[in-house]
Amino acid sequence: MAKLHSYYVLCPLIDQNSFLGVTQDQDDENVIVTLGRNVVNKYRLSDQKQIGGWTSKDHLTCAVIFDKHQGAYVGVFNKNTIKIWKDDSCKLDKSKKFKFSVNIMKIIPRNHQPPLIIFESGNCASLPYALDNRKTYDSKLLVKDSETIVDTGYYNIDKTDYICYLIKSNKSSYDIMTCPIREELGDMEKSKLNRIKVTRAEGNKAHIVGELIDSDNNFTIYFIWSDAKITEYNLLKKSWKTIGNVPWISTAASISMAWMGEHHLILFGSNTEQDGAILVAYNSVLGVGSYKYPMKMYSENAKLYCFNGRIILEASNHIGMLPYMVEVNRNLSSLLGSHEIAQDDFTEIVNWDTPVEPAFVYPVEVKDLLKFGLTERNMCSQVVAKYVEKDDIDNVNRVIRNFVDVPESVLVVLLNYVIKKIDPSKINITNHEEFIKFCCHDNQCFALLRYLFEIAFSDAILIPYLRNHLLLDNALFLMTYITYLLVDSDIFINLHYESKLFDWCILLLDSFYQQNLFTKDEKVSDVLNNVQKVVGNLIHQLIAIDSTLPILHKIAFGTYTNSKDRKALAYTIELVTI
Amino acid sequence: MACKLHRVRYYNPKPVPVNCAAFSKSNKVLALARQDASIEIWDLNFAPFLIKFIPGVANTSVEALGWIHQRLISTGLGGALIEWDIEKLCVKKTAILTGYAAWCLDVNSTNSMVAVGTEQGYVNLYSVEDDDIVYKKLFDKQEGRIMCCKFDHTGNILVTGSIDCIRVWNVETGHATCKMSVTWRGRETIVWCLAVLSDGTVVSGDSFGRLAFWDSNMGDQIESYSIHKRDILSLVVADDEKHIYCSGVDPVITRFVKVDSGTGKETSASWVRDVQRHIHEHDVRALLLHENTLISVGTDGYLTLSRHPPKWVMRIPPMIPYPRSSVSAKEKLLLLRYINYLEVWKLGSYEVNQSGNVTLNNSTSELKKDIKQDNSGNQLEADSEIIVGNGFNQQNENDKQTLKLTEQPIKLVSIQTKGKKQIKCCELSPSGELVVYSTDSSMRMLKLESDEDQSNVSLTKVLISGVTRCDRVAFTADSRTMIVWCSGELKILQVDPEAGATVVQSITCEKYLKSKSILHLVVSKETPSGAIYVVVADTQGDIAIWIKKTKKFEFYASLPRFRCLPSAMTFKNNQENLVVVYVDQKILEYQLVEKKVFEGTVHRAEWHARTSPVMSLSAHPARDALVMQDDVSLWVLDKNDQIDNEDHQPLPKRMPNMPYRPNINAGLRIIPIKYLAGFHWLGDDEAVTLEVLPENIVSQLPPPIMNTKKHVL
Repeated sequence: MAKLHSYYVLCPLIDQNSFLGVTQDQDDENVIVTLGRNVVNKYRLSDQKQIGGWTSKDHLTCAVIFDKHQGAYVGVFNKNTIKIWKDDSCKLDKSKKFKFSVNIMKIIPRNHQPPLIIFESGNCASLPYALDNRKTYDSKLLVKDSETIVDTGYYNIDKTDYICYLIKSNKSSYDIMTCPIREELGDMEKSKLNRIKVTRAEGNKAHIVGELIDSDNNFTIYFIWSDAKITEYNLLKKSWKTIGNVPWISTAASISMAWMGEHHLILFGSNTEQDGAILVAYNSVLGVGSYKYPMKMYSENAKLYCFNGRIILEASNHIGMLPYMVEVNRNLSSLLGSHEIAQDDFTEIVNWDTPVEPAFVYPVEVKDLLKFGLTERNMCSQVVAKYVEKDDIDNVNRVIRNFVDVPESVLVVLLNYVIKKIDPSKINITNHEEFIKFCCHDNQCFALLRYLFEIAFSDAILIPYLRNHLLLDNALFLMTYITYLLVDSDIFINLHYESKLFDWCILLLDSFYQQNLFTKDEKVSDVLNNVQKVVGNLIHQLIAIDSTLPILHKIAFGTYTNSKDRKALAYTIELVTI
Repeated sequence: MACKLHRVRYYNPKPVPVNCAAFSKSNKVLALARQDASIEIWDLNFAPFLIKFIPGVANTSVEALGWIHQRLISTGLGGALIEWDIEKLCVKKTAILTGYAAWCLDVNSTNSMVAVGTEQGYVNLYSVEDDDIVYKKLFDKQEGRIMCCKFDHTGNILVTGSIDCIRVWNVETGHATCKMSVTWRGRETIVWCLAVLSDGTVVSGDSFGRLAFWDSNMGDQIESYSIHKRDILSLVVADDEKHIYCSGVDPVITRFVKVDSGTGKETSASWVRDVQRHIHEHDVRALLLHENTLISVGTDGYLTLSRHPPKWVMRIPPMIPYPRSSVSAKEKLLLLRYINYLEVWKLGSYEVNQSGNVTLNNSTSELKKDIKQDNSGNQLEADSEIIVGNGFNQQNENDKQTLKLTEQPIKLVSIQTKGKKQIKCCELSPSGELVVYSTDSSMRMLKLESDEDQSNVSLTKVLISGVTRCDRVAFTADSRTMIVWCSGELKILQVDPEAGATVVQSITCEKYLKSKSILHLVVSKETPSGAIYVVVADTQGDIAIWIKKTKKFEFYASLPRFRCLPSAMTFKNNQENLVVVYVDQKILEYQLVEKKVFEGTVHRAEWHARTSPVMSLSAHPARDALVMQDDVSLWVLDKNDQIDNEDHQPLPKRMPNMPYRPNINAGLRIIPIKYLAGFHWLGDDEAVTLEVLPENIVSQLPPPIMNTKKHVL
């Protein structure tokens, strides 16, 4: 599920035609906006404040990037000159110029290597190499005059960098060109150059209205066609796949695309009535639109980016910003009805001779079961039950990790099994130190237990199982262990897992609500008090962070004043000349 | 030399909203009544100066005020017409009205008739006779309460406004001659205020924010303007009937101008909206005109004077009347007066290091950003006065040095008055052991005892015999004699904290003072010649002096009467010279021994440009200088200008509209403090200022209904 928040203006746009683009700054929080011919500004996304910027007499011709490799900004001026400057330099006109004999198209930053310069001829080179050899640079054309490079990307397979161009010919047909890059020089190994034509099935007249090279995450190129179909080309597997349909966007005009992360694409285009624009968050795995955000104005070929949880969108007279949230595995129900079945209208030729292997990894135990066509849940319960009976914890540990859909009944069986193995009854779980010591000799049982918390479940189905099969003492142990994981353990827990732990805590409280309420057992109240203390502490920490952040911010900007002074203002003794 | 100034900012009496006001054009006095039923009388002849204060009584209300020549009448929800004795400051006569609670009253132009509108719809008519107000008749009963009433200039016609209609009455017969319906789209409309022009046109302001003009003969509406977003509560017509001002819940003050249009014989007049002033941010309850100065009062409690053109605003903050505080320099005690209780505070002390110097606070960087006046139109107009002060003292504001406190101030006691009555006057003896206060019915003296660390404070009642209540009280420097003013009589009491206070001498002052209500009662220290002077200034401007040489106080002299009231007076240190500041900013020095008068000339344009009166005056204990205090600043006036050269004080910023004057009298220093409620010396280099911050006044007010303006006071 994706959710877009409200729309802000990041900065005004002087002239839409000369806007060159937005790139990531040194910090994730900041972006570089190359506003036009000679203005570059840096903005902080959280408060839309400008935090820096430069102007230049020379005209910029592509978006300025931040080169993490040498910690400097790199810009292209008048298509053939490169300037490199640091954050603290204020005059761009004075920094050194590197003039090239060939025209530069753009610069792509790379994470741990120098950026790549892409020339208009289609050649590329790493920045230091290109600077050294700028006078003698090869200007042989790799793309024809009639063709233009519309998008570029670089990706890395097995430590080899690849460059990928999307080339549009004047007949509006598209080609994908990929080529490995030599490590040091950053130029192309032209012998391994590969060119693929982008086509649809025979007889389909649809043309491409939007494209995106997503090289960072998926090595995939996405295309949206005029019949609203989205297809992807996987650069690794070199295979084509149709994802689905996007019916909410008009395909009469161009559509901008960007990658939001977590299987989501963001699309910007004119709406179906063509009287406004629409942003659509599209799940590329499920092939469903998960959020629609109507907007007033559509602008053709608007530049669209996603940085640090925010969509940056070029609008007619400003650059807009939309914070978003993407969540993967919840609220499937909200997707109901948003799905349109995509039917490929060309027949797939299946080679029946090749043995059909399931497209997922599976443990050996289920090989036989697969033939019966059993569900995953069914298989899981059969396989796991077998190992639990045999008391084979190694195999349980291994097998359970291969199943995504684990039945709730099995989950409770496993919990009971693990707790039995751990045997917390030999210690007093209300004794904090003893408990920590107990948890310290971490073994497979604890690892399995921790994994069990990770498994997705439906609470409505799980609660009855917990009530019927889990003992109160075990539930108390689980709660104590969860608080241990949250607070005392050194094991790293990510955000997702943490929220799962809280879910489990709530679930256990819920399941044993009446027992908790009626029992006079001191152990119960001790454990509950402990949980409350831990949760209370965490909340206090959140509040503390909440109140510290503005102070830190003030200190960082040198505007901090001690609030005690204010309090004392009601009474002061001052030296005043009377 | 720098003074250690205790800046007390925790004195925040609750501002009381103003309910209604009346202005006497003949005397130029303004009466205004607050929500706690207290009545204040301000003299507007020169700088606005509070001359009389009648404390309010619980569960009473004053909804309307009126002047009949010099007599003040009021009415309220108690259903009575009250005449006030403004000499003795108490009720003079009460007449019960027909029709329960009264909402409005009006006095006709010849001051011979009073009309009162009541809850039940009766108009009560009273005629004014020599020393009395006599019931004359009731008009026909009408439906619904009467919210406002106005005589026309002849006094033959009375116009009343009530819910949904305006009625025109013949005063002779008591019958209604005309009824005008004000309803708007069938919704209930309240007519809050009315005015009658000399041509018979009735102007009304109603709860839908409309200002309507009516023909009182035909009963037709002539014109109607929807100018305010909310109810119009008040309107005032200029004497020449060329301007109308109106305001209300939507606190913008809108001015209408009469424009004559047409040519030749057929001229017709129409009213056109003129300027709008954003002066208040709370309801404006009453508008009055004094020549070209508009007086506006309302829920914010401020008395606001404004003029246009050029734009000029003066705000007088709602404060407890003088004397509102008192100190005991010896014990470092501070007495604070609130509406119906008193507080005694022990002031804090500062740290002194081993070499005997004071320690400064390290964190001196107090980021107090001046709120710059922003004329964006949407904001409140700031006071016009302070600019003078700011120019003088910019430097002082920047290098403010705060001392390290070793002890915070402690509230020793809070003294509730008997029956929670409002306080008329209070005083703390110089020794710090006696607190005395008086309400309008009883006078109390309390002995304050506390041990070293102020943890144990006790109050014991000290008997006073011979006096039951008083208007003003003062102690001699030794705290053994108390001088009390009680409606025309000066009483000298011998005070013993153990045995009580007894009257030892009574002086009737009819011979020396015209009025029974006084402005000032000042007692001098014992002069080198062994004399003690008592000076009394009354509300007519007469000043009489008594002297005690051996045993009894004897009449010594009356000062020549000046053209205006004395706003403050003090004795010079160890001299038998009395310095008096008048409300027109004139400073006169009377040498009591030689009986001579000097004019303390201040050749400073800044001094004469002042529009607020000096509220207190004291002599500088360390050098020959006078310290004067008004609501927004402290003025230090040196006799010799050497001080100035030493301190390298920046030259005063010259105002663009002031002619340049050479620095003849350079020894003038202005310290702006807003609002300065009191100033007392504690020693040669130690003083207390009592400050009421404007934001503290605002924060105690109900939130404004029309929340559109930002507050910049």
